Amino acid sequence: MWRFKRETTGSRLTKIILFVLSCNYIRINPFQRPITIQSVQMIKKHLSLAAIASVCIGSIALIACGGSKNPAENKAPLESGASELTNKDEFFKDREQALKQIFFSIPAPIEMADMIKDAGFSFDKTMLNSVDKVAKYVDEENRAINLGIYAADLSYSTVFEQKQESVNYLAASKTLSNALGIDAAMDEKFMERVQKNQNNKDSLLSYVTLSYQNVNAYLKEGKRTDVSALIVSGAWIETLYLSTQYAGKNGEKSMKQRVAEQTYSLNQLVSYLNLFATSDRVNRMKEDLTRLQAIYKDVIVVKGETSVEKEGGVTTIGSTETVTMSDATLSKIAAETVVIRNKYIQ
Amino acid sequence: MKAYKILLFLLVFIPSFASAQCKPFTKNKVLPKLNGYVQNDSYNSAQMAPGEDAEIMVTFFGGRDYRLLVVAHPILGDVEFTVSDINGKQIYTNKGAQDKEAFEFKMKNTQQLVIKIKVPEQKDAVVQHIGCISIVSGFKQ
Repeated sequence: MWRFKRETTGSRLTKIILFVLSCNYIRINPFQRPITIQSVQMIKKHLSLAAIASVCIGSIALIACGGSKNPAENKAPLESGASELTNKDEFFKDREQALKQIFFSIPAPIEMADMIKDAGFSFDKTMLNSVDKVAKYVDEENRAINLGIYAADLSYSTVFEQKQESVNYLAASKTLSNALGIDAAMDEKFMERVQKNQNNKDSLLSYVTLSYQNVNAYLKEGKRTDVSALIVSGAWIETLYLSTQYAGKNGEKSMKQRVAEQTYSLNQLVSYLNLFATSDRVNRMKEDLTRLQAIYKDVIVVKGETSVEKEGGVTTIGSTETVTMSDATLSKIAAETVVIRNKYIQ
Repeated sequence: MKAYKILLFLLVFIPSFASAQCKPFTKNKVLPKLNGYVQNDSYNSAQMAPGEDAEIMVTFFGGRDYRLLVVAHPILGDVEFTVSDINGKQIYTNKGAQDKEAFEFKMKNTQQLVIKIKVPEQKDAVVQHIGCISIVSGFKQ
């Protein structure tokens, strides 16, 4: 049993710190608002040493005994998503760069797959990278890029409601994510749920998007953002490849337009890869994408004005900006995409 | 005295370790708010501190409907988010909005929009907290 010292300024401060920390742990602060000097002083006035000790002992008891029998309550601290900032130096170290590496977005492959379907095209299995090749990808760079490629093929198969293909691509994605050391992104329970729900298109779609998110989440939170960047790049290349295979066929215009609009994502992606200048594997990917970017310079973007309309509570965002390209440019983009893709999937 | 030190260690460090990541927050508190929209980005969640800001550029395709979510842990207070075009013209702010976390819109043409988030300062706080912020967008099928 420990003893508190006599009331001195130092021990009072210790009591306040202990109380604030224990309150946070056991969620006495239900509104989860910042604790100010004023609020702490107010609380302190009404608390005896015994009460503080009780709170502390209670906290220990909760930790030791596992808290409530309700599993959801036990998970509360883990899922709360907030904590004290205990190590400022570590937290703010290279902060701007860290936030730029985390907050990055290009459309996920599922959206482009949805646009291919919307354009009235049918599923073509022959375009996909075979799942039989999964064992060939043995180093981290190839595994990451091909995980992205499989993620795009999985999205495409799922959007077109190809159940067996979806399960196959999910299994291949799981193999590669395990090999990359992120087993938890698609664990056995997750795969079981997918198997059970494979006949429900909406459920399958949400599992596919969740698996893509999980993989990137584990990597970004595990400070392996460069690996996540390779996955996103692989997914983008495969999505572009699938789109170019449809674009321009028999005078088709909608996919051609979508391929032209990929100029935005490509520029964003290359800028993002620039954040990993010290990574050789990311630089290799960047070199490939830079070649593609050189061809994309022939895509004509005419800047315009943005307009915002609100009608019946619905906001519509428009722009006079136009993006166009010739058939010759489309052919060049398609050809270069095949070269880059083939380099990675072999 | 030894027990006292152990107690202090547990109280200081366990909450930080336990809440260090935002994946459960995103999964449990954010993704359900997509309300039937299909998520179309990878993973944009991080713990942020009071006074910090961040931005992200997102491409939205013409002819499609979107729901954009910026969800912050309540400990961070009223996080502000704005949506602007690439030239800085503000399209939306959550200040005064009924739903401060979600923005639904239709895109006429494909364009890039910039989402900026700002965490309010907490100058008088004795204990500084960090909390998760997730930016998630989804399209309507």
